[in-house]
Amino acid sequence: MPKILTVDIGKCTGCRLCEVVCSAKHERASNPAKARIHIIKLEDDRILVPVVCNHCEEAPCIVVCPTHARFRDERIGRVAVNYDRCIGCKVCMTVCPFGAIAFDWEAKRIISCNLCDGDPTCVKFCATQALQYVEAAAANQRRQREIAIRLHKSLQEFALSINW
Amino acid sequence: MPLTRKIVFVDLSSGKIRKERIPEKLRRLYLGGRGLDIYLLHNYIKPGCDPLSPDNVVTVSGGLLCGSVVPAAGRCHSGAKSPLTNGVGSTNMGGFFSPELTFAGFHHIVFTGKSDKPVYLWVHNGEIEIRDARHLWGKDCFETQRLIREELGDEEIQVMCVGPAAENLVRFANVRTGLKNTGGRSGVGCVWGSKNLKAIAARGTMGVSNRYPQEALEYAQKWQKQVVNTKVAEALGYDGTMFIWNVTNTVGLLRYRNFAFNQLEDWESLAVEKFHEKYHVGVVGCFGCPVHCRHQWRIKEGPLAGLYGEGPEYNTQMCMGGILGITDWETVLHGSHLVDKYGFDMAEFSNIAAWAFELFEKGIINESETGGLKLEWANAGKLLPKLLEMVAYRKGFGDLLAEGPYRALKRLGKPEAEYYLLHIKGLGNMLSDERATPALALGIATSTRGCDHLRSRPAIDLYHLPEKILEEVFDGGPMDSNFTSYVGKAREIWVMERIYALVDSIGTCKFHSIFFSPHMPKFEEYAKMIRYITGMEFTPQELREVGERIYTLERMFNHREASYSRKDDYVPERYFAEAVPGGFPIVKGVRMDREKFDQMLDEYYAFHGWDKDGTPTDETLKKLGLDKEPSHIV
Amino acid sequence: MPEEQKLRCLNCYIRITVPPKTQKLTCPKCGVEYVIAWRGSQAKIAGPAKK
Repeated sequence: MPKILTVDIGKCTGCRLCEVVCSAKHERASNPAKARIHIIKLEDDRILVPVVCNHCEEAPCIVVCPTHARFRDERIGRVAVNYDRCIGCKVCMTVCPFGAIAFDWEAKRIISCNLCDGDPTCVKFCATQALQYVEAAAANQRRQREIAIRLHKSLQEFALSINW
Repeated sequence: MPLTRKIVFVDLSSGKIRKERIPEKLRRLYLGGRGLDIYLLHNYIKPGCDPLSPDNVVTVSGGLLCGSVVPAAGRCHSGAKSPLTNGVGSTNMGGFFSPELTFAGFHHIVFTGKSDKPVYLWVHNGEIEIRDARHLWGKDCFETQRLIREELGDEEIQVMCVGPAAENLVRFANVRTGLKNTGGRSGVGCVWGSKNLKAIAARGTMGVSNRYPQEALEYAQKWQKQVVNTKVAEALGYDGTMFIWNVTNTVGLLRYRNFAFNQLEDWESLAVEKFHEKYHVGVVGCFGCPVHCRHQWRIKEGPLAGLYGEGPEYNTQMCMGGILGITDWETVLHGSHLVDKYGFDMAEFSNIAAWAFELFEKGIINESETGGLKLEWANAGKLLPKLLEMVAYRKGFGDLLAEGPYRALKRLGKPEAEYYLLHIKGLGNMLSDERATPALALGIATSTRGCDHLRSRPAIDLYHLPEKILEEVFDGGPMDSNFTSYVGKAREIWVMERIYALVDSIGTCKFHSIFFSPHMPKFEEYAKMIRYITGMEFTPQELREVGERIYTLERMFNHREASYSRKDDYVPERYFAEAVPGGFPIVKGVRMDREKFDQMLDEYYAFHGWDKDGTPTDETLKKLGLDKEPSHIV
Repeated sequence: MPEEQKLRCLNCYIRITVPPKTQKLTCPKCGVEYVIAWRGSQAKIAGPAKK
């Protein structure tokens, strides 16, 4: 079963280590500007959102690609790029609803997450497990369990408070 | 490649900008960060200059490994000749500024001279520009960062700045970035203000490559596991540094109402649990850090509803709280917000304000000296916001407090007042009562910054670790598990000084060192990380020597600029004169023992290869290559 | 079954077993008293007990 990369926004601490290791892995140099994942921060409002390719099932970037360079690789469950076909027209960048595709101005090509071929580096370093790589069927399981525990606790407190 | 990052010299008088490569020879001797900064200060400052004159020099830097894959590679150092102590001004903060500076191509900035009008520096991808900051002068630390981002049109710009306190030359003004990252101690921000330097903005997209990319990533992961698997990383990640308070207050190792009590009996109101319950809204971390020891807080109801910030730290609990006899969280958080806004050191403020309150209590000063302020302990909470503003803007009595220990004492002109002011070399003490902990006492007495714990604090000394483990951690013995003993403590401080000098020069965080846990990375781990990322080979022993060199150069700087020597390496007189009043039996009734302290000091000097007066011997200087300083290699 | 909780006395350094849900703990060796806080199943020293 393919795995998917899940992002739990509430757990992100904004440390950006994912950006550092992602770029180090792909570019052999740590450089957030070339990371395939980026943390958007609005400090005043406690907005910390990791933005990364969601490997859409019906990806707009695949639909618009004039040379069919972008395609779905079902082996890993990702959107991938065939650089032999890519002409660097950058239309995929403009249609991605998340802004998850970037342009490497030195290598002169578009870059986006490729799930590190099935072993995502960012997940390995994410200390709070805001980023996880889990089997599709289990993707929402952790969240379900967390909510279940909190709900149960709240219900117990409520029950005690009205002397049930 | 970290080694390609440049150094830039900015002369604020002439506007001249000069970019240089950093010679590998200097990297081998000092690594970078704090280490290279003291070298630059020692070489570039006009000896004997007034810290607030154009002859002083400001350094800003990221460490050798800044911005690289090693976790928490984001600390930022800033140095100058201190306007408080006249010696080493050196301060370190977290956040995201120095990595951005590194990605913009630079590891070090050296500011000389003085600008005739307020300016800020704009550093982006190898380019440096001095920009007009007259419209920013007067703006607080939050607004300044926001306005610069707007002006330059990029939300991702990182800004390091000073606030109104620095502009008004408050001697303990600090440097700031983000919501609360602070380079607080030794008044470096004040020197920025004296140069009309308001801020540095950085933005960069130049990567930091690894010499051995695969090994670097793999080892970074090992390092991270080593750090996060410790119990202390877990405690820090949940409670922040406030986890320490539950321990130190329980034993009685703190100071309340200046120096009246060492334990808060009604502790529930100030405990981190209370903070969690009412104000905590999230957890964040510095650049690249898996420990995320910082809270976010928000006040939801009452007159301060809507106020938010990051923190608080253990330091905040005490500096805006216990030391001033304040025990309610809202006042503490309000104070924390204000110091972050105005940009000055809450530790220095707290120490000197508490002194004033005690003088008032004892009738040494009265309303005629305080300009009508009733400095009664019961009023401290109510007075705090007003006092903070008065210090930031040097209004009334705030003007005296803003001068720092030496000058406040001189201005007050009452010799009997000095006894009550806890300072060493003109820097005030923080939250600890070190009477019962000789290691910690020696640390603050000999710190090159003055009365400060971060040159050497061995928190693990308090854990009662077996002697065998202590001998292993501290490169030898004899050691004593008991924190009240004087045995082996000189060795602890000597080793910690080297470690912290290294950590500050590599640019990672002290919480990832043996500060709190003996299981954290040490010399062997630093050597590996340096090798994988930069290719530079150091044996663990050579790294020990680098740490020794950096610390000794700081000592030499103090000797040259402020004539500091053995006579200045003592804890305040009160530590010897007054016994610990309360707390647990292990500390109650303890006084510092003068004879044992002297013996400990002798041992400490011997470890360093310094003479009985604390001066590095010729032989020591030669061994460390410091006999040729200042050497002007760059 | 959760790990048995042990805390080190901050005054005399012996290890004390902390039974679950303990609120107040007295050191059997030196007699100092603690208030215990619980984070899930983990016990920690919150503060000194009131005299």
